[in-house]
Amino acid sequence: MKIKTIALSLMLGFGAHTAQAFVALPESGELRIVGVNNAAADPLFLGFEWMPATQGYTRAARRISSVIYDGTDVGTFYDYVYRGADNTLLFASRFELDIGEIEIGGAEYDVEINDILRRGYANYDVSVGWYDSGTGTDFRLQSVAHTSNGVRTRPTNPVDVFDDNVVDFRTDISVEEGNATTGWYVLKTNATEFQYLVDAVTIRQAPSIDGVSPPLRAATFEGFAPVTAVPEPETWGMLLAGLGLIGFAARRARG
Amino acid sequence: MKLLHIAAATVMAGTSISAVAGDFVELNQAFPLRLTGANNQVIDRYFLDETGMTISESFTDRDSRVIPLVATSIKYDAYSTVSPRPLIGSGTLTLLDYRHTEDVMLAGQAIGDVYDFVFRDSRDNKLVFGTRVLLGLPGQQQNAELNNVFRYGFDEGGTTFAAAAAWLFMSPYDLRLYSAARSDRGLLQTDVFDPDAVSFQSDINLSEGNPYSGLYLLKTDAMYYTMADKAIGYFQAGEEDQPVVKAFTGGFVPTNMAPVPEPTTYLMFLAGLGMLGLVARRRIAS
Repeated sequence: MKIKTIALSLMLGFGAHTAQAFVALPESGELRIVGVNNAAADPLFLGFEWMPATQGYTRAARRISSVIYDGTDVGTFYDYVYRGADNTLLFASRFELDIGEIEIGGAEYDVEINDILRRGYANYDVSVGWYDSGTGTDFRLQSVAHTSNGVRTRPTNPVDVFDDNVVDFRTDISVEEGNATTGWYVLKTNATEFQYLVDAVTIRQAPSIDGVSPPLRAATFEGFAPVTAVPEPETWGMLLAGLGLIGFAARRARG
Repeated sequence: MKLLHIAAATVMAGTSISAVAGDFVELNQAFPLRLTGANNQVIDRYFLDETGMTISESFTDRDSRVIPLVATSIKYDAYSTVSPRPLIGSGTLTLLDYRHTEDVMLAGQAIGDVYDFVFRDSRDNKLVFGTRVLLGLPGQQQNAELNNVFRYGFDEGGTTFAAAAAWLFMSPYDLRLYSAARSDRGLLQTDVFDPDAVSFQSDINLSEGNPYSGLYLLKTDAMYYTMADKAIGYFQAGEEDQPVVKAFTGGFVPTNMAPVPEPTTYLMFLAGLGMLGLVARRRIAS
């Protein structure tokens, strides 16, 4: 087709790179932060040499488990928690697929992961970034949003609606497409304690346009999450002070 | 036209993170034929670190992103992919010629546009053929996927030209070169050495968010370039249940045969000779 070309483009190259830092997830307005193929220009990319260990983080916990779709073990889920010098926590996820196709009802379907949802972030400040494990097969973090409904659908994606508890990582890993692993997708929080939640992670494969090849596939499993916020000591103090005031007022009203 | 392009050109700043690249890689003529790249630019043998481009044409896509289409010069750095990854060379690719083929067809439908470039690399003065594919532009089929792009003409009457592959980003949204081989086979097929063909593998697909290929490059030791009817091929392997289809388009090919002057060149030559004769005659007469 005739693409309308622009003779004079005032673009400042894609070298205008401000990454190498975590990006705070918006809680209103445009929720989704979108990355790009060129890592050097990707706002979500933490840097070619970035690793928690070299950035002052110490590993606090790790769980490595099976990824199961429709009863078939299709890969591995790496769930790591790191603690920073200021005692706050990083939650890092990485997926590795080793099965290209699975059979359901006599038909073979490609196995993909298109979205990774992480739960348990309500009331915490969350910022995001990703880094490459160095294997050469890691797939970038395509986009991320504080939402639970914004999962990939075909042909168009839904409008993201804010969900304080959930972070949606969008990706596209598949053995068949030659991108079998994700990079490390990292959530930086102001949480200082973590727990193991039974429904911390959901992975999802978007159905094809006809909904049949492949069908929608999803799985929910355990993983680490920040500890649910408990009231701080000063909050209890304010509550007591308020009760005291009410009691005092009641006494005066009676008198 | 050329002048206008140069006047309107904008120089793009290069990437600010260094040591993220590979270099041109000479492709094997025996096993292993297919050499793969990598998602991680630091260890991608084919990836050139672009350090400055002069863009003469761009367009704004449906997502309001400005996509460069034609670069009159591209500066690059080449690095070793082996730690500590030293810089091993720098060059400037200067555009000699290009063709823009609109609405290339696959299975009876227009799927995309193909850009075909010839550059000369200042590093070794060799010719470099560039290929870039843009799929699913407005009015085109939106679901096509290209798993392979081919270049032909690397065997000329028994002379097998060198073919060294590399790629770079023209826009940050471009998709990388997955692998390359001297073969006429594509994804899900077994490579067989073909001296004439080079098979680039990728996964260009609008619905997967990657409608634009990177600029896929082939450096050759041929002295000249010429036009051929079958210069570029493109192939959909059908891994997402689409039809398995392959098609071809014309473009530039390498050659060692010196270009034959155009008829108009001969006319100018004759006119010049005639004028010389006239001057000589007038001088003798006087």
